[in-house]
Amino acid sequence: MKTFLRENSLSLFFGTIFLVTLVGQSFAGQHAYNAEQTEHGASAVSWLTYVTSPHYWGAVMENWQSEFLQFAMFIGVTIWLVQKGSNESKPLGDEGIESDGRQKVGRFADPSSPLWARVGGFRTRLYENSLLLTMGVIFLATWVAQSLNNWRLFNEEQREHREQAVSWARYLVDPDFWEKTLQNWQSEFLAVGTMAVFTIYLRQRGSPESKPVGAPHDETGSSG
Amino acid sequence: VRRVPGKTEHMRAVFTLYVVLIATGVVTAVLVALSRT
Repeated sequence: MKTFLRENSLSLFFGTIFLVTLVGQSFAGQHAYNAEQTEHGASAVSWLTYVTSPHYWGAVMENWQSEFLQFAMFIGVTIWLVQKGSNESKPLGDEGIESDGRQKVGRFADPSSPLWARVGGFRTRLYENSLLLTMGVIFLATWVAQSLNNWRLFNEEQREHREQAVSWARYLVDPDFWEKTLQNWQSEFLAVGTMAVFTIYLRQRGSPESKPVGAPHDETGSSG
Repeated sequence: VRRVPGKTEHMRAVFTLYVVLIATGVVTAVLVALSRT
């Protein structure tokens, strides 16, 4: 058990604080929602009603989609684009998908390489892109889930104001959808760009997200 | 790269846990949206 906790401490830590904050969001969200309900003369809802509402899931999916977009884009874009001196970048000159030898695929695979890296053909093509593909699929799924929940919410508000409900397709071109989407995207892009740039000159001793403290500013991707 | 033999089932367990968490969240969100008409 001790070995299990130590070997997986990073993912267990983030998994735990994810669940704690998700529950925290549900209670804070319920209270904020009920305050609004009271203002409008409507009755308050229970916690269970709130956690099965589009208000809650729209907010959750809005944030999820932008995080998965951020990582999918970072994984994809860093194949081809570099930043001199950044720990988040490959060294200059390594742009592109790199050789089979360097990537240990097909006949260059080690005996300990994953089976799908060794076999070649379609399975290796799929496996060598599996991280980007999976993150991309999760991004698209969460973005669709966001749109569906916010669409329901939008129509509930339309009804409250005695206005016509809109179709999902119509909601996808509504400024409400794009404002909720872009407000999340812009913050992710700023954060990723900042990491790429700040790791040129700033350090955190002991973190793999940083270059070694004494590494020169123009050393690129030394511990990424 | 240092490889520690054995115990790969632990890595698989945390990987599966994350996949299940994400899939549960997405499926729940879609079901909540589609159940409200």
